[in-house]
Amino acid sequence: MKKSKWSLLLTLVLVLSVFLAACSGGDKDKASDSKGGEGDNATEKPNEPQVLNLVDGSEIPSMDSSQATDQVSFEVMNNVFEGLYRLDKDNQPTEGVAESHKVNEDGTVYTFKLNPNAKWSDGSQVVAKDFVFAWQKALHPDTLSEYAYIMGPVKNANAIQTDGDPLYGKVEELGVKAVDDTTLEVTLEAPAPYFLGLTGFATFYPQKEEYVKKQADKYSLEANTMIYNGPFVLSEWKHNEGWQFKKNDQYWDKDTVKLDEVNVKIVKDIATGVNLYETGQVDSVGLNSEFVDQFKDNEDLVTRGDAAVYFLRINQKKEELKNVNIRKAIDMAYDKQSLVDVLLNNGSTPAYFLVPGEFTFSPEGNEDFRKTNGDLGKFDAEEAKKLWAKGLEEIGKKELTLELLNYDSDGAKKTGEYIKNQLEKNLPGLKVSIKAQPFKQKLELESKGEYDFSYAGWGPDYQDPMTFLDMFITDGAHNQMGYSNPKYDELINSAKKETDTKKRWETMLEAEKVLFEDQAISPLYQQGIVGLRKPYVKGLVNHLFGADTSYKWIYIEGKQQ
Amino acid sequence: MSMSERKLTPDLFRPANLDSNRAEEISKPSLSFWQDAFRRLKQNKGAMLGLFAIAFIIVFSLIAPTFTKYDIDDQELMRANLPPKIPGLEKVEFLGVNGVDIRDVNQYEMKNVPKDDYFWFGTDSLGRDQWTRVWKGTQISLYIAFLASAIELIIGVAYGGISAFYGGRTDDIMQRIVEVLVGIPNLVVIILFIIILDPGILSITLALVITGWIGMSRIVRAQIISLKNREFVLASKTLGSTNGRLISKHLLPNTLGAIIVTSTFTIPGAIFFESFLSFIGLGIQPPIASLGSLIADGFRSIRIYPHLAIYPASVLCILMISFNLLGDGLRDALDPKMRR
Amino acid sequence: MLRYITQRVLYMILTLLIIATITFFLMKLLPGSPFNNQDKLTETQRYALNEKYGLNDPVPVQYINYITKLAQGDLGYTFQFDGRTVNSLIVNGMGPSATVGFEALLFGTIVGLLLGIMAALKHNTFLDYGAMVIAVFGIAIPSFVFAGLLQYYVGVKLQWLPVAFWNGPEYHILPAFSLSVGVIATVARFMRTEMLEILGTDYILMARSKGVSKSAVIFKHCVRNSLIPIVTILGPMAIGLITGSLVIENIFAIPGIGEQFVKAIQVNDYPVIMGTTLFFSFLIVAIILIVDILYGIIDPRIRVAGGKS
Repeated sequence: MKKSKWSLLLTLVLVLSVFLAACSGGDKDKASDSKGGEGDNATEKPNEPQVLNLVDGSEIPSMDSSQATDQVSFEVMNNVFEGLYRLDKDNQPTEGVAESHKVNEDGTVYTFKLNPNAKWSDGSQVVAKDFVFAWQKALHPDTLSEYAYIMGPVKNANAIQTDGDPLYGKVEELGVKAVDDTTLEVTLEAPAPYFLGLTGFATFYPQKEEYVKKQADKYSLEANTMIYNGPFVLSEWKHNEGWQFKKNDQYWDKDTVKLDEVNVKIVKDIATGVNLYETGQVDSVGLNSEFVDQFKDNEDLVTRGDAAVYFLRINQKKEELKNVNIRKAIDMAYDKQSLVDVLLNNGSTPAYFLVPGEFTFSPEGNEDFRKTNGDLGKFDAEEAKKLWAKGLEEIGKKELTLELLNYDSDGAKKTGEYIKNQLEKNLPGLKVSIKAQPFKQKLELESKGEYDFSYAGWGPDYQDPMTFLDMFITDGAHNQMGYSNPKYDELINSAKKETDTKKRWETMLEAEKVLFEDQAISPLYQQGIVGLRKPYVKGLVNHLFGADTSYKWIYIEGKQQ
Repeated sequence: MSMSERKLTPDLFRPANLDSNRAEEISKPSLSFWQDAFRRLKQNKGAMLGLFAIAFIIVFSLIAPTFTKYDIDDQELMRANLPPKIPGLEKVEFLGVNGVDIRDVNQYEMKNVPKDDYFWFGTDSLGRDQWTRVWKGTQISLYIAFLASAIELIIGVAYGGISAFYGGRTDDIMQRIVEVLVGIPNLVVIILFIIILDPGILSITLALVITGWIGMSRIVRAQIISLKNREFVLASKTLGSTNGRLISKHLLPNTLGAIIVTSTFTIPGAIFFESFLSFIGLGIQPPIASLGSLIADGFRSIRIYPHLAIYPASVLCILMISFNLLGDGLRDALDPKMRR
Repeated sequence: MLRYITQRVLYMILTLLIIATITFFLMKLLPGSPFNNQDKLTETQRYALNEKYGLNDPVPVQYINYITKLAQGDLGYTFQFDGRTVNSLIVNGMGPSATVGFEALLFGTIVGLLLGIMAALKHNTFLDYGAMVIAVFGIAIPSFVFAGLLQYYVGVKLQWLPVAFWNGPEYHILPAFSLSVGVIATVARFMRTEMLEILGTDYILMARSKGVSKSAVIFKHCVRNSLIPIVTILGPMAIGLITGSLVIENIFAIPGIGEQFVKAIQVNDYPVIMGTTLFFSFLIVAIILIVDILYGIIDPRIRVAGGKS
């Protein structure tokens, strides 16, 4: 008796709550409609706690903007610091510390007007000389910044970094000048259409000289030995455990920022992250392919494209791999579509190219680089066999054993097994052995050239095809496979000097085609990223380069029903 | 307690008729130590069960891969992640071997697998036959475990025995060496092995051995130290026994219990450490697999494809239990003091 | 006894020095440089970075520098995190790791002893088999599987205990329990074996015939004597817990030292590898010393090496 009464009551409550929830949901929809769907215009604060809970895979390696080299640091800094510009949801530069800018006629001098309301968290104004200080610091030989090369487009930046150059170490020769507190003048080596986007990159953030010098060695080591000029401040940093962001009251655009608090905990195991997500302790979590099947039908599943491209580096210092037919045969002999659909299963797309899609667009017409050049390869086992036979004949061999140098992560191992199996199946006489190595060991072997072909990847540093293309010039630092084609070198060098943006674009298109005529690499896929995110997390913005995520525009709506 | 309460009366006793001629007669057939041990072992049902299970798994792991037409690395992504399906048993729904996954979808129909294709343990994410992989993996795991524990046993017993038996300065020096070895966390050694040698069965076995024998040597040493001052050893020594005789007749047999129990732990220990290495990505390198690497792989998707972890885990469990039952049985059989 | 301990401590320092030397030269065999962004570094920068960390010096010079600093208790700076010392990493990570490890060892040993004693006293009964089944499963299930299942069922499904993190006592239960399973199994089996052996000895029979009560025999004679081999395996087991904790800390997101160690190896962070290796080694030799001293206390028959003179 008692039980049935209870269950009746329970049902009633449930029905009522569903009904109420439906009502309130409707109200909210209407409210946001009336605002015209623009979250940015909304000044009234939603009346529920604006707290976001996240997990991250690693401790923050560095909070000094001139030292940082990794994704975790970049992401944290993107939310507590701000450069001249920052990236918006379409990866376009939107105003940061700079209010506006002017470019001279040949596109080499940028004059930035800084926002007088841009403040550090100690209340002082962010001035032009804070930029000059930070940029010079990054290039100074004593700083040993591993990312200093990113300043390359700025005048004299490369010379300052090169030992033996007359300008070596003379940071005052850098093409950056504080005209007055709110005017910053930057001179470039050559026109760089992507420069504005680059100013949102960590290495270009300002640092307040007086404060940095006062903290000396302790600067940026703890949450309370830094000052911030971004939308948030780091209010707590428990090393190796997690950190916490709080809204920055001194931020010039604080009305746009709706989140009061972001809690980040370090969780290295994906299964643990998923379990935390399921118990509602975190609001967003990344997935790997094993978990995608499990959440395939879950409405929280979010997929997004990324601009990193993975490819097989083919070491052309090896006699056998100098043969272009062998290289072409390797590229054609494995099914990239199945690899992406079944094995990776994370929204990645098969790559028949080097420059990723949805990443760079032509200066006029705004056409995707990828769309213009199209696919530069295909899977064709029959054709691969023919090319293979031809290639073997040319090098005078009947069979070949190649070593695939691989990362040692689980996902990479499976991909490696798949490629081995496919190649051995489709190319008779080929034996592939796999050598899986920890990340740094693998890089070392690559730079020494001790491999036949390797599973490699490249993420863009700035939004321009050049970030991918100049990797493979002869003796380039990242061309660790002995590829050399004078025609290619010439195209790249002329594009770098070209002032006509249209012509520059066309040269780059041409260069990519040359690269694939030579089949210098065998591209695998353009990376996709998959995760779970609670539907009440709104306004999250992801970026294709630099920092992964911006919290500035996030708000929580509909968590409490 | 109850004994003392009972009154003892003379009529409770009667004289024994002792025939002095038959006093020296041996009524039971004379058995050597090992014959006796084996007889005792045969009486222990659990041990025999364990022995048979181990023998069965060894033999089966050798012949089972020939039951299917698929080899260990036959990939086909079109048939990835199929649940198990066994001919005949597929009609029996509750067994869960009818090709239907946990979402009630018949994956065989959905992925258009030919009607006469059966994957008894399902397939993995690369579409490889899990049946072949589990049994080949069993072979590899057993191989690593047996090899590692055999080497550990030999080195450990010799080292611990010598150290304890000779004592004094010898013991001191040998124990300092052990301390140095024990002090190096074995993960460092293993990673170095894997980087310097080619990653594979041999480097893992060697890495296991390099630090693994120390446990055995410490136990043997402790046992022998405590035994060698006992009265029966002293007596034997006084009667002029050689060191060889002391060791083989007195010290070793009395230590065997501990050695065997330790060994039954080093076998699962070896299999386990290998699986731990697989979990942190340093184990057996693909395409070959071990039980450990299969479990580590399958465990990541246990909630959606339970078959990937359950079968190798079951084989592992049966092996563990069998080794333990056998170990217990052997202990009872080999330990002279347990004779009743 | 004091002289013996002093002597042992001297040996301990020598041991640590040898370990430091071995690990140092092994590190030099590892390929790869420690810098995060090495595929984008220029030669000049690479040289300058190596210079900063003293990696351009000849190996013997690097070795002497390292040992000199080590003697002053300075383990150097980590390559992974800006401006942080290895000492601070170890100090930060040690707390949680030691806590979980100690809790697991304590809980595991107590439960294991109880199970082992019970199994031996009720030899060949249902209780004996039950205890041994628990012990067998304890070693038959890898700790990462067990921890993962516990986390899912107890943390997610039942929501009785927190899924992960390190915020208070209730956060210790799942990790410590997962880690203790191996300890329970090992201790229970050893205890049972030893107890059975000792129960069959003459002096137990003697004690019983003299009218000593059963419980007195069990606790004064059997258990005490059975503890000797347990003490010998406590050392290796504590070391095993370090290995186990690598996985457990990972799964339960505990900011411990074990995970840092694996990470350091993967990214060639030499100072952290060296530092943690030495730290683990220090713990291990200290445990061994304690175990040897305990020997003497538990079993007066054993005259520890060196005590003979």
